Amino acid sequence: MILASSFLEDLLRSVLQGTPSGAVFALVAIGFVLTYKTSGVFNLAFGAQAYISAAMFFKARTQWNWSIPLSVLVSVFVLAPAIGVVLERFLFRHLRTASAVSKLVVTIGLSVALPALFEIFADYAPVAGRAPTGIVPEGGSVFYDPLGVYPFSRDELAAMGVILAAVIVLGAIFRFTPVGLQMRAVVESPRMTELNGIAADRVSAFAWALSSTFAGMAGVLIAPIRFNTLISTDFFNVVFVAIAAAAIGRLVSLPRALIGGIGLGWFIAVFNTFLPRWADDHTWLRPLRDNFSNSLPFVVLFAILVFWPAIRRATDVGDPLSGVDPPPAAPAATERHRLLTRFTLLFAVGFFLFVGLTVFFRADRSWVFLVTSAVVLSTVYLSITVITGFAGQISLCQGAFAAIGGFTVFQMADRFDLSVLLAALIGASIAALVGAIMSLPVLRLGGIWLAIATLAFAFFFDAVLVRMSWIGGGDTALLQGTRVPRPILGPIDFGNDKSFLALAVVVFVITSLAVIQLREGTIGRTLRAIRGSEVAAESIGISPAKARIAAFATSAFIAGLGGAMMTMHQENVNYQNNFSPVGSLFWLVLVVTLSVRTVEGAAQAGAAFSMFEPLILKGELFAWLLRAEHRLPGFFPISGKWRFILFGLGAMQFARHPEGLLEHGKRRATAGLNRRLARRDQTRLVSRSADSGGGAT
Amino acid sequence: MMNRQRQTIVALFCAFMLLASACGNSGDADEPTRAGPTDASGDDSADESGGADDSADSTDSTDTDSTDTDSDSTDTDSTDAGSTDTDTDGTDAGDSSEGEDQDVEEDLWAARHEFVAIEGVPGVSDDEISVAVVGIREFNPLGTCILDCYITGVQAYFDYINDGGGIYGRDLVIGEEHDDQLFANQQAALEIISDNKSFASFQATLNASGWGDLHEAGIPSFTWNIHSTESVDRDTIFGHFAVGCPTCSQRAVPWLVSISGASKVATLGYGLSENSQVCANALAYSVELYSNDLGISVGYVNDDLSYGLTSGIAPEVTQMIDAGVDFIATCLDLNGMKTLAQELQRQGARDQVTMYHPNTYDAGFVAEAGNFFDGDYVIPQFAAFEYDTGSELRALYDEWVPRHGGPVAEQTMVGWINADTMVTGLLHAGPDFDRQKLIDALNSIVYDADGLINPLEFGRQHASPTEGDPTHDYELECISAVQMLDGGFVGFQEAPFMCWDNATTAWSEPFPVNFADR
Repeated sequence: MILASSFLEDLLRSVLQGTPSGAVFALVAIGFVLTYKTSGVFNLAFGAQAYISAAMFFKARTQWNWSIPLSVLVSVFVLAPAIGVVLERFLFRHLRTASAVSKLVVTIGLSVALPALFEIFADYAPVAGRAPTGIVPEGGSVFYDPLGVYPFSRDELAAMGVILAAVIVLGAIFRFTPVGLQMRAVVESPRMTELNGIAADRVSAFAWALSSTFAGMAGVLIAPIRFNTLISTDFFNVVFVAIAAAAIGRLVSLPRALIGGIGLGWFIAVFNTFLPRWADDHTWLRPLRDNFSNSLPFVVLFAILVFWPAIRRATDVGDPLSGVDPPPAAPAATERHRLLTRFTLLFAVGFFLFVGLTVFFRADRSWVFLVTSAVVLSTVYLSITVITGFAGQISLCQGAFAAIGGFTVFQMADRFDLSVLLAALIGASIAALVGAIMSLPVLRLGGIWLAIATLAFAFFFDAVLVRMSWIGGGDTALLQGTRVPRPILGPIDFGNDKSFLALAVVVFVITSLAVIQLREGTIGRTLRAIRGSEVAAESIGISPAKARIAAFATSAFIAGLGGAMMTMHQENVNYQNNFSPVGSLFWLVLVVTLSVRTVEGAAQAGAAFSMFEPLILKGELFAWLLRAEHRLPGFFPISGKWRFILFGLGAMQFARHPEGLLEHGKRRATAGLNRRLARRDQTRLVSRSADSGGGAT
Repeated sequence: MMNRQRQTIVALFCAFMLLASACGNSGDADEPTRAGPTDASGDDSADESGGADDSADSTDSTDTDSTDTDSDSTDTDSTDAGSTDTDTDGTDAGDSSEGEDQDVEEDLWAARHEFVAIEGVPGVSDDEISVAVVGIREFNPLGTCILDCYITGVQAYFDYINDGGGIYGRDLVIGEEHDDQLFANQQAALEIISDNKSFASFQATLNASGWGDLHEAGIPSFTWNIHSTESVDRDTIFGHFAVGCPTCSQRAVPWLVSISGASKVATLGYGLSENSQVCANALAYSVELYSNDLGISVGYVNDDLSYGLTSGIAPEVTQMIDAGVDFIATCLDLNGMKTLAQELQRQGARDQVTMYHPNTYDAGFVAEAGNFFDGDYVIPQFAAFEYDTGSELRALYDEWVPRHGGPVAEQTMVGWINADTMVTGLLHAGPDFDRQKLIDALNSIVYDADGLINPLEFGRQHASPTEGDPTHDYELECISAVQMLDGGFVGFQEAPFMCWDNATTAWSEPFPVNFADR
């Protein structure tokens, strides 16, 4: 009895202890649901929007000494909705009927661009220990403990109150008001809504203002509860953890998101309370205690996605009128004039010869490193070309596959002194196996849910698997790092940077040829068929499951190979630098933004990722053009934050040109040239017929 | 169609497999088995890859014994001997060998204006010695002042030297400055190598991915040495403290536990960071090791906290309280420490628990916290500002750093010490110095930043020490701990350093040492 009483007391305490964290997760999860319900966008930029309002509130309170109401008014009720309206007007209005990947790409871009923009224009820089204050006086220092078990601060109680009020008010808006119905209708089909005489643009703008205001409120409430220094990346981390709670709400139910958020907080607290005790008595629980408490949210998320049938049945919101849309245009390369094709080929050969010769004979070690990085990254990006470009699947765990290749090279070389090239192939094969196995439980997931599942796997790999000594190296890595030698092939020592660049080019060319073969062959056609219509493909005997597994395995193989090359190139795995989950989000955005269906797209994304900053932001290109570094204007080097802003702008442009910026450019150029050539041909024809007619006369 | 495609892919794959199977790894040619990251192997690869050949010589000479060095550092053997005698008891300052040492130092200092024309040394002209500084400014996840404060320290020291006429007739200047933005350290290192216009590099980074390249290129680097993994076995890297042994026992924290009157200890680390995890376990091991001697014990260990404590730390704090913990030693960042302290306060245990902070020697941060951390301990990596060492270098720091508007802060002091290390090395290298001579010189002397740090013998301390083996360890294990009080720091030790003899791991009471008095 005493035992039971103690257990219940501990349970109650741990539940209460998990409530503040749960409130934070619930705020973000409700934000996800609200945005998804009102705009159809899975808004990974929620954290960025929340951060801006929190930072604005913080600045207003501490630097300008504004009162709390005025600070809240400006940061939450003016700035936040204004951001929402601007985003809707210039971005999401163009994306209403776009695919899940298009919307996801834009929000990832925004998630880094918005904080950087704010910090530059508001001249805000985080300072360690400058703790955010809450919306109630002495919010962090006054506690209430009604049950005598665990006290809550005023800030936490305020957040909980706002959450409850938000669920009730927002629920009422959706259920009982015309605007709630209109918002949902606009998400489903703006065109049908407009046919009914509703101004879809205005409703959509209101929806974005509403969800953005909530994001702002969430930021101001979360900051004092969770952070001691106001840094945008902390919001980013919280957002990723809270995705599990949003998944419980299936992105459409506000009450379930609330339950999911609070439940996640409770689950983590209960797990961390009881598991250590039980693990003392039951040794089989110890690995769980030692490895999983750090990654619970991602394990929960993955489990929800895989085992909850409701998620598997969920489909992306689709416009019923989308069937009347014209089919997507064919790639420009298939339509262009033969002359242009020849000219393009000639130009490409000339360009690469020029660049290659310059790099091999003129470039210093730093530039050789950058160019090699670009080539190696391009190889990795070909994996995105396969999985997203050909198969239409969103994978956010390409970094994990690449890391498997890298770690295999390290382990094989360190433990067995194996040739690193051979280890690279083994690593790529292991990555392919992992990719195939990982694809099995998520086979039935589609659109945004597949993206979330792969993201959960990436975070699980990051939090749990990398720490296993047989992957990450354990004490060896701690004491000596994950150092890797360069390969030797017969008489060629790739320890020389330029030799290694040549090897990287060879690997990229071989992989590109294989990818092109894949695209033009049966597998590519199968994937295209499934991408077009899974049902139709099935009706002619194609197995989508097999095709998906093949696509994941192939893509993981290429990523693993690229990761192994990157490890050899840097002579170190450098896991956090190269393969972190957040990093691989940007990989996807970059490739998709430029051109996800072509090898050139992967190559250009690799070049952009590696070379943009030194060439443009540091001013090397301008210095070269000006023929002197000292003539470079004073604003060089440009802040690295502009890299994120431009990255975000690129993703935003993608909203207008979902075929990719390069493909869009190619189409315009092709169309323009085709027109000119046609005019020229016509003129010639006319003049010839005139000549021949004149002669006859 | 399908067959042709398959055949092409299989053919490409087979060709690649065949090529791969016929190959080996760089460095294998000279090594029967793959060597660990020893200096010898590192230098071999440098040779093969056409990197700086100079570093090979230095490595061979410095890794063995300081007395083997063949460079123009004949004075250094006597320095070593003198310091060895002194350090073991730490109190017998002023014997004859030290007097000789002092004479030598004075002679070197007096000779600093001697100009010798030097050709072909990167970053060195007739007028100046130019260096590169790399560190993190943008995208610093801690929000602390790192690169700017570090540069302030380096620049202040350079100005002090330049004000006195420079060194060997040349001014010291920071010619390159790189913000590595968390993940671009290797790129910055390669730019330094490629530009080849800097004599040395200074590093205050959170990610040291480029140190290996700088080492292979033979460029001396002076570092905020929190990256043992990247500096181990690299004899061109000179930190303000030595390569550590992350798994070894230590006496500092058990001693702090005992003097605080606590008896039950909890140790905490982040699961995401191998360093933090191992550190938490090493602290627990240390407490257990000295549990009988000090009457202390381990009550709770958690090396798997989520980074940033995104899910809070309430259950863990409850468990610590239930376990009767009255001292918490952590391997967390300063933001994590504040979250922990807040949770302790919420659960009513803040006053009963003392904490050891590894990373909170930040005046601004502690001032913001008010009296939140009262009674807690922090151990800076040099003689804490709160102790009067009598060190001339410290007095100069107090004079020159404020002229730059720089804060008296950890990073500023690290920059100052790093700059002094380079100048000390140059003085020992002589007026016809080059990179290799500087490296050789530093690897053959004992350096203590005029008493501001535990004396370093670079020649034997580039390797990682192992438990109970003093070969690569400090002669003395020393700390310069301070307590936090009313939003500031206060000293409580009898002397700037409290030390233990590292010849044994057996417990003994620490003895006071002021290295500046030697």
